Amino acid sequence: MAWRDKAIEQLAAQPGHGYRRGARPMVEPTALAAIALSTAGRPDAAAPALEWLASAQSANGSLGIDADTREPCWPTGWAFLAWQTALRCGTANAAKWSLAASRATDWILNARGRPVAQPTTADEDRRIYGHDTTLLGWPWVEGTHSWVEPTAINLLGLRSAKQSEHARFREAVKLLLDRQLPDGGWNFGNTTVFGRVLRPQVQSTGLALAALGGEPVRAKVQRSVDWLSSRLSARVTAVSLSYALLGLAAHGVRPPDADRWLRAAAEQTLAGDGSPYNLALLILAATRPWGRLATCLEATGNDVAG
Amino acid sequence: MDPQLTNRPCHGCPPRLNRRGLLLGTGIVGAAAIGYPLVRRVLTPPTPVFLAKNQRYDGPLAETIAKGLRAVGFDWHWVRGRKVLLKPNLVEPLAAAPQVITHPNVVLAAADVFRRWGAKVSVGEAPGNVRDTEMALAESGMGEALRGEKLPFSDLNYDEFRQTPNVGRCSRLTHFTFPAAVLDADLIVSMPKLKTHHWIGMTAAMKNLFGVLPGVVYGWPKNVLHYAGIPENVVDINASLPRRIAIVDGIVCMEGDGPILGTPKPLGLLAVGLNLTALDATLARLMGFNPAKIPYLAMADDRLGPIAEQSIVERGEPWRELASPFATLNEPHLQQMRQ
Repeated sequence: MAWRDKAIEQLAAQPGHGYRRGARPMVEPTALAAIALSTAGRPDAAAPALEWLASAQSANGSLGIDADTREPCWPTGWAFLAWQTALRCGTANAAKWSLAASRATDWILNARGRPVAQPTTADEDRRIYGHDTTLLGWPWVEGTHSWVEPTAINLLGLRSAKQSEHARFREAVKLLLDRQLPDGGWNFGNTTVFGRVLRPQVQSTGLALAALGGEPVRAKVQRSVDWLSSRLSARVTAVSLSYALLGLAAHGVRPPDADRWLRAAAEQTLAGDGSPYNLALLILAATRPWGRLATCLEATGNDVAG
Repeated sequence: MDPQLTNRPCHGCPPRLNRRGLLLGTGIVGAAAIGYPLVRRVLTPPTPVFLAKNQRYDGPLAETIAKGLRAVGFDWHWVRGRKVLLKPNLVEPLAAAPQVITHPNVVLAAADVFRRWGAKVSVGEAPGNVRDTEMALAESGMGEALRGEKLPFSDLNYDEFRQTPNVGRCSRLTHFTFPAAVLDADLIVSMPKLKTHHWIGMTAAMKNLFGVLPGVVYGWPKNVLHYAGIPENVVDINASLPRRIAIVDGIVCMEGDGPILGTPKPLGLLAVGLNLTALDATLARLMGFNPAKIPYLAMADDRLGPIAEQSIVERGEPWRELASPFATLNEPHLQQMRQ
């Protein structure tokens, strides 16, 4: 895949990455670039990004959104996964990344979402918000409620660190299942509000399914797998497409048109703003075994033959 | 253009007085508290708002917008060479539910007007419920529309940002983090869809500006603002931003379970105002709400602008001729806003 090689070379060309090419480096795109490069068999190219992440780590183990903005700390989960991926895929700096990952784990296991802003009774909370507001996951911002995507990001990291029996991990799995929409799919994290069912979104669904890869939940998430499969087409943009393919792969599904969609999205990105964030996700979604983000880090038997 | 903006404490916020101020002030505060607002209202000329009826997405919207801006006293010479940021609402686009978001044609029409007046126009938004902004642009049709007119788009969720003080101080937040594209704009044009909102009653020009805050800092949704108080932050964000005006898409509105799941309500309305508080108060009346019972408007009243009907002068159509109560959920906090 020519686009993949071109994208890998672009990511390998510098240590830190922004959401757009040339923008100031941020933790999330840099971590995703490191994960993509490690899984693509380029540990040498991943090392500068991993180093950049280590330099952005605070004394308490967390990382903010960039090297200067120490809060909110939701990208810590991505950096953690980047170091874990390097350790599992092979790296020359194992001791250093192991220490960084260990400090990040401590922070992640202590971070937690809060009850909703205006809690009522459990029944009333369920009526208004549609979910069990007491289940603990992870928030975007410290001191706020648990939401689907930050919870999924941290589950991916914890699974890679073989922490899937930890109480926080188990409760977060419950949270994701509780936030699954009645007809399948996830959105940012509300199922119903005042009794009305909200709409699912492709990216949130893909990430949630990726996080649940390796869990014995196939029957419970089948409606989400079906919904996501039905939503994919050439119209789906790079980031949503990548997360969708990663999520489906974590449950053994690979749409036959996946390569064609990825190529089109990559060519559009490379011809456009060259977003390293887009490219990293596209590389991950295109790297065999499919769904490496979700499954290569801990064998699950879900890999699909390409 | 926004003469009502002051640094006076927010309604409902504890007063920040020192001991001397307390002693000196005790004797006169009572009289002043009663008299000052009255005097202020008498001395301040009424704030204009413009409403146009019978508007269509395929109609001459640019003409209506230009007419509306002139009618409310916008100095169109002032924008020549200046940076104008149009801020539509793309909170959670879905092609099958166009009532959720600002229609692209309204944005293009506004861009056309400001470009004709010599401004450097761009469009920016930080969708509140979706992380994939590219998908939001595709799903809404906004991306294609902007490309067609070569209008630059700033993804406010991820772009460069800077901190600024919270000027309003209604909430406990001391600072806001705004995108550079917002802070560097000479004029921000709030371009909301007129909708009901199941938490705060309505969403129009002022609430739409929640959508300039970056998701990377505030989350998806911007939950920080929920914990710190939605009405308080509507006021604080508006108080802390550079110069603002509004052009409201009320052509096909949303009623019922807004701001996402409500149903279309065709109204044919386009609304323009230089003062967002006065404009939202007028739209609240038109929707069947009592502006004084909409918490963010009650807080903004006489601080960011007037909400009293006698303090607002109508250009274009009178709101009473367009009044059409919007259905809301049958929740007590929403019903109270109608009384």
